[in-house]
Amino acid sequence: MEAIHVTSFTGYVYPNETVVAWTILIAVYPYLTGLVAGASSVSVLYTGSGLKEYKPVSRLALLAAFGFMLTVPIVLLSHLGHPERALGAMITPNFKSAFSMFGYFAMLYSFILFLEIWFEFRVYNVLQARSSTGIKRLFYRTLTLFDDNISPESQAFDHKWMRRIVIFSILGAHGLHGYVGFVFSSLKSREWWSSELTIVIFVISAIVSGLAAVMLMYLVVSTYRKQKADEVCLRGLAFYLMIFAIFTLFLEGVEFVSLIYKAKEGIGLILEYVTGPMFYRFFIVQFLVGAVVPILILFSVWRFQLSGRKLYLATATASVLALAQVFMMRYNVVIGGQEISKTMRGYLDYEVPLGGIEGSVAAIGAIIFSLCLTFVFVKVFTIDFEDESVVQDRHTMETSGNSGVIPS
Amino acid sequence: MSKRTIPLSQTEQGRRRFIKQVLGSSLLLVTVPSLASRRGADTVLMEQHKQEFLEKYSPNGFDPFAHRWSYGIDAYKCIGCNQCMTACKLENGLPGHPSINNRWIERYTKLEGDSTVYVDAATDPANIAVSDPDNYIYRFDDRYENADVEYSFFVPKMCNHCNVPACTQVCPKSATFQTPDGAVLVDEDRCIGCLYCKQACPYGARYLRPIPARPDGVTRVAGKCTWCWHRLTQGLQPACVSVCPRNALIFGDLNDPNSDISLWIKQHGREILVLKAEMGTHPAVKYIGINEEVR
Amino acid sequence: MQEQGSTPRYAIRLVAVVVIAALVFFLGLRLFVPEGSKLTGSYDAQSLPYIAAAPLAYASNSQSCGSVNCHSTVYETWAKGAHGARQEQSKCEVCHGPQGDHPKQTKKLPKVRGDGDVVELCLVCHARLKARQNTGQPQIVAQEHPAPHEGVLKCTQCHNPHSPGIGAGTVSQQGETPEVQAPAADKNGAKKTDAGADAAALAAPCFSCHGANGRGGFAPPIAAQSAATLSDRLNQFRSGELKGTLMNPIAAKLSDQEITALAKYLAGLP
Repeated sequence: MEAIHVTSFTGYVYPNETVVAWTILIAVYPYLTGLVAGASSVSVLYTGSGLKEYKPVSRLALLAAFGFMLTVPIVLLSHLGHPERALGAMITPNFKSAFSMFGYFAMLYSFILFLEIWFEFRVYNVLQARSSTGIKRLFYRTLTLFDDNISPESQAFDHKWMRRIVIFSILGAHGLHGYVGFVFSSLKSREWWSSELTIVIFVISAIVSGLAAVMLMYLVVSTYRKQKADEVCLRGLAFYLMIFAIFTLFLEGVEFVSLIYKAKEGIGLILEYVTGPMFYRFFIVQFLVGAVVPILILFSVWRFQLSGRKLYLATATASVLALAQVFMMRYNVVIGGQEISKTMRGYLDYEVPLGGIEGSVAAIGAIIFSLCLTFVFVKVFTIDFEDESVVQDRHTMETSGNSGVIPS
Repeated sequence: MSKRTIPLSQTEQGRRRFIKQVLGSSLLLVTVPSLASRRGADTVLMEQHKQEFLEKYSPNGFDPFAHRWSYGIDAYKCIGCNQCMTACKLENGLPGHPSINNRWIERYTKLEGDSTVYVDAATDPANIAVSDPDNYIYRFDDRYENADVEYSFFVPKMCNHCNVPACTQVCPKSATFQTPDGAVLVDEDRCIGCLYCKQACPYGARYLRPIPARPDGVTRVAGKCTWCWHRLTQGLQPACVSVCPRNALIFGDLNDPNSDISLWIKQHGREILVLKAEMGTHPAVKYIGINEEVR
Repeated sequence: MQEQGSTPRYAIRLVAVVVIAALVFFLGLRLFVPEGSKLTGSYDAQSLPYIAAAPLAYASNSQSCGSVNCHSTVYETWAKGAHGARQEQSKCEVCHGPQGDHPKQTKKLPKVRGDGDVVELCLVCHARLKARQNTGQPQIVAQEHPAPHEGVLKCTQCHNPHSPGIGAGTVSQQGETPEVQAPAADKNGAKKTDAGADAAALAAPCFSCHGANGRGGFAPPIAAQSAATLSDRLNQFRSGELKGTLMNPIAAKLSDQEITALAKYLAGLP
């Protein structure tokens, strides 16, 4: 018989609630989809809107988004009672269920991301195919569908379609993550989850996490390569991070204050819980250290136009704190929501085990796995851009209407 | 083309585009609700294929379309002996562990001069200390015997087999569903154990099954009270109703005006309450003898 | 200007690959839709016969337990006793456990009750709890029943589990000590005319402790003792001269005439 993990509780909770159903991996899951949405948005700053400052991080963000995206099904499947039956949700889906629609959405969005990557790196793949031999050559040739056309017309074609795909990519990324928010907020059984604001908070904080993740990755990669990270890019990202972090803080605050103000049934219990077991996680980590502090750091980056080492240190710190904040927010929603009993008379005290599929090691492992995937993609593709002698910058081509002369 | 007299810089254009793209598209898309609300589609389709359904799938010639089950609980009579809980676990192959239940009993106690109502059930550590869960014996301790009790009563709880179930709405595969006769069941062979249904249920009626319910059963799937559907199809009553030594549990077919439940409902009429009516789930389990403290 | 020429070859290949993959995937999935789902439009109806085939544990038909060739005697007793006659019935399987596969498998008092501990089993329903107060359920505090007594008696020594009321047809009322004797005299204190029948009815409850016909059970034998000794003893119990016994509250309810009649009757028993 499987061990039954009983959680201790205060007050009264339904007997079946003493076994907490959704554990840390289900907190990692919206975290990952949020990173996908956020990283995708960063990538789109250049590929979609043509903001040249963000060119250095654009490809890194795109590959990171894909890395996070492919980890999502692994995280979800690990948590199921019967992962081998999960595909059945696509065979006979329940159209009313957010989970089943999520399956389709995730598949669709993975496909869109794949298309984006395919078009983005098509020229690179062709060049790689031309300059390698054996298995590697076969690999790249397969990726290019055995067509090594990189003429200006083909590149223009690519850019045109990239512009279109990018729109769907943004729709898809935020739709995906917003849908994850809907998975929680659509349940009327839990007061803590069933606010419509939950979806919006998920989306906005996703952008925060994506910006922070990409910034951090860019700093790490630059350090590793002993290059200087582009300061204009960093400062721009830091500014956006600040704006969205302020917006997130505002929304989370509004949601909490509304809950208290409305004072529906069980509010006494919720207050007791929030000021008791959840105090540190909620007020200190999620609001203070995770939101107010990074905002202040980023504000000083912006206000005092920090540069050099100060800039790198400030943005790195702010990114780490912001990432921690977003994870803590997901944890507080998923686990916190289950700790507040549906009886409204008690709460549970869930402790994350260390090992096992529900343990913190598994959760950290999932994050590390997504970073490893990103690393693999970075190795297979590249985060740099091709020399302009070979490939014309897409935006120069469009705005100037200059076809240029490029050796094919 | 832009209609402005002063053209925006490329950066500004890009920034505006970005903001529009991100915020606009995300807010638009996430407000699109789940596709095709197909409430009631299952039953409509089944009505059309009723004949075929009865030929192929009805067990022992049982016609689920002919019945509409309902359940009554008389909390005035319940003595909290937990015999129904024991019988349910033995009938349905559940472990004795007090955290895995199709049904359980709650004790509500209000003390003199104290505005809080205290609730405890089988998972309360003090109750576990006087029980023997491994042998399926569940008791309530005597903590209030020397206290000034204003009122105290027992409330049996179980799956309410709601007429508008929150759980079947969220199951990704329709592995949990409602039969034409009103019972909400779980298809053990389809369930993936995601427990979204457990989250959606406002009454805490579901759990993840740790041991198989029967020799050919499955573990790690969702479990819940089935109204002993395997007994209903043979004309018997659920195990809990069958053993209650105080006849505090009433079960029957609403389609039959002379069934136990129909007569009971007629008798008790406006006293009847359901749990968490504001959830809109329209439970099929009716209570008398509970007050607003019971959630 | 860019030449808006024909679609590049790789794009066509891409579209082809994607379309073929999508078709294979989605059409392939359709092959796996269960028959039962096609009928209902959602759930697999095949699960219904499976669910209905679950094994039964409880037979839940007390009448069939008492059918002619089976436990009819006990059933008769039960049907007339407090556990069976009232509207709220303590059915056979409440104490005996699930008997769905009986008679192949017999369980006496069910193993689940741990060594068939009768006292614990009775107390599951009859232990006093504040929350049982208004339910009409007879309740006791084990250590204080039937009187302050060293150790807890086994319930079945006084109570027949199939007809647990003590005394002719009496059923314990909630909150009162059970009348461990015959029905009290009528309002005027007049006795029934048939002294013999009266004495026998008075003595009947004694036998649940003192054994059949007073020959001794867990309480000492009272039959064929001298009437004088018996009446003396009863008086001593009643007055409290002999204290702290089970007999004190019992004797306290007897009148002088009843003591005399009882002593005479018991002395006359073989």
